[in-house]
Amino acid sequence: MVREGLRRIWGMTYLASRWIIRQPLWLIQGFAITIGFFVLLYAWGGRAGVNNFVIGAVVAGMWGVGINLVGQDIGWYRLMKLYDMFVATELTPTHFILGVFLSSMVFEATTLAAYLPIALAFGAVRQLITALAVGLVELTLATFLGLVVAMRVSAATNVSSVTNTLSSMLQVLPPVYYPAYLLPGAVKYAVMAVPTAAAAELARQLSGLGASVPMIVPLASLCTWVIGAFLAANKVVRWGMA
Amino acid sequence: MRGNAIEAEELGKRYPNGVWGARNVNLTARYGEVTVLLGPNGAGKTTTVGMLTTLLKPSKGSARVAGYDVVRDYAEVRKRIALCPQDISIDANWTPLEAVTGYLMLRGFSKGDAVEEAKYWLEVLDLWSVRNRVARALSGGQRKRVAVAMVLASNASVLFLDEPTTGLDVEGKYKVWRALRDFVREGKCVVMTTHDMREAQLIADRVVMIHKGVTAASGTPEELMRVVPYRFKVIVKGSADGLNASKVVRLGDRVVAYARSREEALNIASSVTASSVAIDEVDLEDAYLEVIGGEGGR
Repeated sequence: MVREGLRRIWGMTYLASRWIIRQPLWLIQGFAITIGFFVLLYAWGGRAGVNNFVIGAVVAGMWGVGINLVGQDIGWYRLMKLYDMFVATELTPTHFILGVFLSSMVFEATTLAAYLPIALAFGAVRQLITALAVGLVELTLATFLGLVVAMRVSAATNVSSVTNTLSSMLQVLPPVYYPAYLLPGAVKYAVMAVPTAAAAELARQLSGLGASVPMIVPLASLCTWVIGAFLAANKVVRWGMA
Repeated sequence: MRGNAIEAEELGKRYPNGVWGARNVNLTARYGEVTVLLGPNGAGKTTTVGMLTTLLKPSKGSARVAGYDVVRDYAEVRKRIALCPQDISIDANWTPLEAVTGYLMLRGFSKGDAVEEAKYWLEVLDLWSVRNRVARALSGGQRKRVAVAMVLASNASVLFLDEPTTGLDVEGKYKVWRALRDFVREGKCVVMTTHDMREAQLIADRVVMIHKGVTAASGTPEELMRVVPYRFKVIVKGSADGLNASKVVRLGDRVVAYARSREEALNIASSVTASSVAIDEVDLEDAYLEVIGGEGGR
């Protein structure tokens, strides 16, 4: 039973990873962007910049994988009718989502290959471990949100445009690569409503990089997002019997 | 396997927008047979397949597939079926070998078994020579055949194919038909939809005609053709002056006249002055028109 379940997940991962194998330039893009952010932050912020880079790279990477790749893949399968083909099998939604999710992890592995040696070389290990721990929660949340978008956008061709926008906007605009205390007064509180900003702030506080707002604020924000996204995904994800 | 693979009674589906995709579908499909759902676009064929494959929840009626209720026991149904949806498009980055292997793996096959099955069915469907070519480099017909190979290889006992031959050339159609006929010889059941009467007549053991969401008629192609009160048709190309027949269908400059016997058909043929006259037996298309009361029908 467990072995068959694992085979199903692996089968889904196998199919979902083909496009990455055929188009490896996407991986190089992720690697190059990560290195680019390192250069930028190190040039302007030195050692402190690297600490913030590590937090930002992990948080942004997890967010991108969850919302963009998983959501896009599922939207793509809907468009090609492969989704219907898969529903009419023993595959469960959990197998399907895990399979797609695992195939996307190669992107996270690529960025990890970029930021891991940097974190080690600059002694930002604490930031790395903390960011990865918070990032896993964020990844789960982003995957749920990606699912919601993939299932709710009626024209499957439009899924990418929504997830791409959500992905890049929430990686770059809010305080992910930079600390929230740089923002004026109430704005730094308001921005905690953004899940990537909340995750980055939490990782910063837990790894000793200082607090922009009380810890309860990003924590509450992240918890609310996780619960809300889980409930929304649970409501909209239909695996047949529509 | 013997007996009925599918039993559906008064099956209906009303979509959230209030439109009935199917109103009252009754059908039986047996193991060891190809059952064709025949009907025009929008007749309810795809909706019916959707309900039988557990994609859609019926709004009324009941159906059992492979002995299990499609609503209550949908998980059991899914273990025993495979679906090739209408307009399916395999991922442009998949090779035929990867597509079939991956599909079988996600159905619980080991990689080794999946590759063995994939090899067999890709050879059957004449895709082995292109097994490692990515789908974007294959023809539309080859891509469609890959999707058919995926479901044929699945070892499912009931196979659903929604218009599997649409867009295939003649050679491609024959390859699929041959594979499906071989498949049912192993005692399995194939349900496919089409609006190609000739295809239905050639491949089906049983035909279910669906019209406006309702089962209009069902039976073997021969049984259905008996509903036509004529045996022959005379196809006249050109002038049909002097034509004398009890039933005539005019198609612009062509005329189809129906006859109850060969003699009557010969008389009709000799009564016209057209340059081209052909006599043919009535076929499933005539039966279909008769049943749905379409052009030339009742």
